[in-house]
Amino acid sequence: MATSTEAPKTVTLTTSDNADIQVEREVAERSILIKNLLEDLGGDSNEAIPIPNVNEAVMKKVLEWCEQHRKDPPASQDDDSDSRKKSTDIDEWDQKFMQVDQEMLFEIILAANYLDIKALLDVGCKTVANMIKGKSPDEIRKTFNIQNDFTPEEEDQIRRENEWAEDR
Amino acid sequence: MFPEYVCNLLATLRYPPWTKELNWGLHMTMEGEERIPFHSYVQPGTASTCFPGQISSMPQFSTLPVELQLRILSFCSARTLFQVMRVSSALRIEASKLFWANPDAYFLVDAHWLLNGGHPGYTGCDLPFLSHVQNVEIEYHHGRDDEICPLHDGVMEVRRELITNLWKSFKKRFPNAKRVVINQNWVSPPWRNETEPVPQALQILIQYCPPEIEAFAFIVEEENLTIGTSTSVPSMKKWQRSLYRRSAGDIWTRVGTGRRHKTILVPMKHFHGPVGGFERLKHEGERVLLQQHGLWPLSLEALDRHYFDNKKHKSFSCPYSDCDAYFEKAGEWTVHAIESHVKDWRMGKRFCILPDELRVVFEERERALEGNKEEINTQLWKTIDEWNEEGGEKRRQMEREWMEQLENDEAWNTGKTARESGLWREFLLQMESAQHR
Repeated sequence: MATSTEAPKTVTLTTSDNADIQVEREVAERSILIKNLLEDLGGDSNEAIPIPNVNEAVMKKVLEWCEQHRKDPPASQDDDSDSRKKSTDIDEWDQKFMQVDQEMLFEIILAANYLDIKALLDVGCKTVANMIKGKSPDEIRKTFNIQNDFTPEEEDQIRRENEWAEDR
Repeated sequence: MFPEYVCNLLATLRYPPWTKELNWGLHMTMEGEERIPFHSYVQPGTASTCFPGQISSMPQFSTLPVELQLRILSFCSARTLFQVMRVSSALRIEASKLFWANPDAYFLVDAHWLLNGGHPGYTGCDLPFLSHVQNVEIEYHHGRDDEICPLHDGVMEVRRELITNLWKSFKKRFPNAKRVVINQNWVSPPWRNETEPVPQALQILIQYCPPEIEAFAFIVEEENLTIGTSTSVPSMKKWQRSLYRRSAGDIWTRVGTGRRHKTILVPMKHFHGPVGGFERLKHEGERVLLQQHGLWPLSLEALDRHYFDNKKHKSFSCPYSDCDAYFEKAGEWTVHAIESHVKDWRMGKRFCILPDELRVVFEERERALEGNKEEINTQLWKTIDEWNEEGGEKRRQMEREWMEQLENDEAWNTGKTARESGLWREFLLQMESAQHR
């Protein structure tokens, strides 16, 4: 039986740039991918877990989030339900956490997806969704570097839709 | 306003903390139900406030895997998705799917229109728009019961042909519909002897709904309803709106109470030609009326915010002279006013309870809406005067133009010949009403 004085279990993660990061197992297990790998390896394995799709800088950032959210309840089955998608509200700590450059935000989203950390993925996606809010199509194109590639038929349809949005 | 509509009003109003400006474009029915014009539904909101250090662009977006792009879009509101639909071909496809599937928004049509065949001429709705709609709310007005299930000496006749016709029209006009809510916002009359929460006629109507469409009945019922045991007088009852779904074995299950969806008004079609010109007045008049109904509840919110919004916290007494209620918290007044003073909402000088600076603004808004109504009436009278000009030359010309349009313009097709068209009959009725002026 575990006692309160027992040191917390740790695991080692090897990132894509061959850095070893030691982290408490409870923190690492916010990632469903890592949790499943650890379970497959058996309870007391000391083997380093390879994380070939995430580099050290991004992994550290992800683990910072996992540390903060280590006690959060596990993601429920209906996490993908519509109720989850109602809001783009992000709590204050997560907002500060997401004060990163474009490249890091992009990498966090990819890493959260790969590591299967739904809550972090949602924070990343909400951050991007908030960038779209209140912008015109042209501003959205500029924000995300997207080309206007509509066919003439689509342009026609869009013109009709624009009329729907007029107060007439 | 009848007591059973109080629950509608309570759902229409906004409560603290107020996160948006007062909605001067509030549209509301006489029964207190909010209606949102499509242009307001998709009106671009204000841009998100960037917190310090937050980046404002992400040029790598297009290189994200498609499922992640979709996940991002899934967090966007309808108004944002409507903008995204106009960004690029690929985003348009995905944003459109999410936009039309929004489970919170139902697009409104009238049961009467569908019962009468859903002909283009009898609606002000833009028909191509309807073909995209997935969630439909059918407004089921008083009197429809007597059309589809009339009573003869207490025995109900089910007019299957009419009901089937409604669903046939529905399928034709809404080929992509997935869910339908039939909104009966009134209590069935006592002579119908209803024994279940969902009135019989509504049950029968929904039984005929095509099986691939999920159908709900949105009704008014007593709170904590126990059928057959209530002895309270109607005005003392507390009412609520409830959503019922029919399950296998004809069992009706209450799936929720209160209004959980937004009701969106479909964009209006183009009103071309003499028929369009006349019909436009009718539909525009309806929209002005909805805004006029919305003014009183808006004034309640304004008064509440006058004392409690923007970090203000000023207790106040009920402004109605015969009431000694006192409000110490934001939102208390709004609920009190609806529950205790709803009878005053259609009285004259209804804004006299407001402080001067608010009263002036509301009276100005009221005058502006009245002006819109007068403008519509002026245009109607202009047409009536032309029709009744001496000599009858103008009348003959108007008649020729009407007949030509009714015979040839699909937008005003009513399934009948031009002379038998209900539009023409209604026009004649209006023109002849001038003789009683």
